[in-house]
Amino acid sequence: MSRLPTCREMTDLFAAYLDGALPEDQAGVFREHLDRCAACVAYLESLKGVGRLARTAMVEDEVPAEVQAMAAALLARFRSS
Amino acid sequence: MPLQDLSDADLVSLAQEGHGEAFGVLVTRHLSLFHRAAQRILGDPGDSQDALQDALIAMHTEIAKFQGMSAFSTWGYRITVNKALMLRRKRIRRREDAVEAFMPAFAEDGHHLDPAAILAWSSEAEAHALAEGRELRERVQVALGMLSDDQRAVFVLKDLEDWDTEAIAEHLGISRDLVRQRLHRARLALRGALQTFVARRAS
Repeated sequence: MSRLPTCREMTDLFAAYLDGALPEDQAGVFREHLDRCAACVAYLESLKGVGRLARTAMVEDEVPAEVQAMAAALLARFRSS
Repeated sequence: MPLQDLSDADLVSLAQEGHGEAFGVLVTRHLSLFHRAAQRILGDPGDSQDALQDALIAMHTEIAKFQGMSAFSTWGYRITVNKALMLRRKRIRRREDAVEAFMPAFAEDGHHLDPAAILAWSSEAEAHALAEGRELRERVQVALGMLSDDQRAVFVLKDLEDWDTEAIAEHLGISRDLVRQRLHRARLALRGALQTFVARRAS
C-alpha cells in the first residue's frame, strides 16, 4: 500500500492495530495517517475509551440475594453429601 | 483457628480431604468474582445464576484434582467462564446484532463524514461520563444488549476481562481474525451508542 489509507480503511485496521497484529508495512502507513488526521486519532482513542467506560459501568457491587440463596443451598447440599 | 481465617491454599487442602465446610468458605469468599464473570458474559440474571450453579457443581466435583498451579480464584473463575460460554452456546436463540445505526459514517472519498462529532468524545468528556455511575451503567447495559451474543462474548473477554486474543480464539474455537472482527464491530457499536451520552459532557 503506497498511498495512505482513507479514514474508512483506517477504521477497518483499528482492531488489528490495537492488538499489535498489523504487518510492519501496514503499521507504517497507518501511523503516517494518524500523524495527519486528528479525527482518526480521536476515534481510535475513543474506541479504547469504550472499554474503560464499560469496565467501570459493569462493576457489580453485590451478588443478588437469590444468587446467594442458590449458592448457600448448594453448599449445604455438598456438606451433607 | 476459625475457617474464615485460613488462607485459600489451606482451605483447598481441607476441601480436597472432603471438608465440606472449608469448600463452602472458599467458594463464598470468591462468589462475587465468579458471579460477575457469568453476568458479564450472559447478561441475563437467570442465565448467569444457572451458569454459576453449573460452575459450583463442577468446582465441587473437580476440587480433588485441582493441582494448585494457579490460585483457587483463578481456577474457579476459568471454570465459571467456561460454563457461561457453554450455556451461551446451548441457547437456541441466535440473535443478529442491532447496531447498524451506530456504525461510523464516511464520505465517498473515505474520509470521516462528521469529524466534529468524533472530536466531541474527548478524554475530559469521558471523565465526566465516568462520574455518572448509574446512568452510565444503564447506557452501557442497553448498548451491550444490542450486540449479538458472539460479539458480546468477545468484547467482554477482551475489554472487560482483559484476556488476550489467542486465549479468546482458543476458548471460542474461532480464528484470531474473527475475534478481532467481532471485537471491532462491538467496539464501534458501543462507541456509537454512547457517543451522544459522552459528547454532551464535553463543555
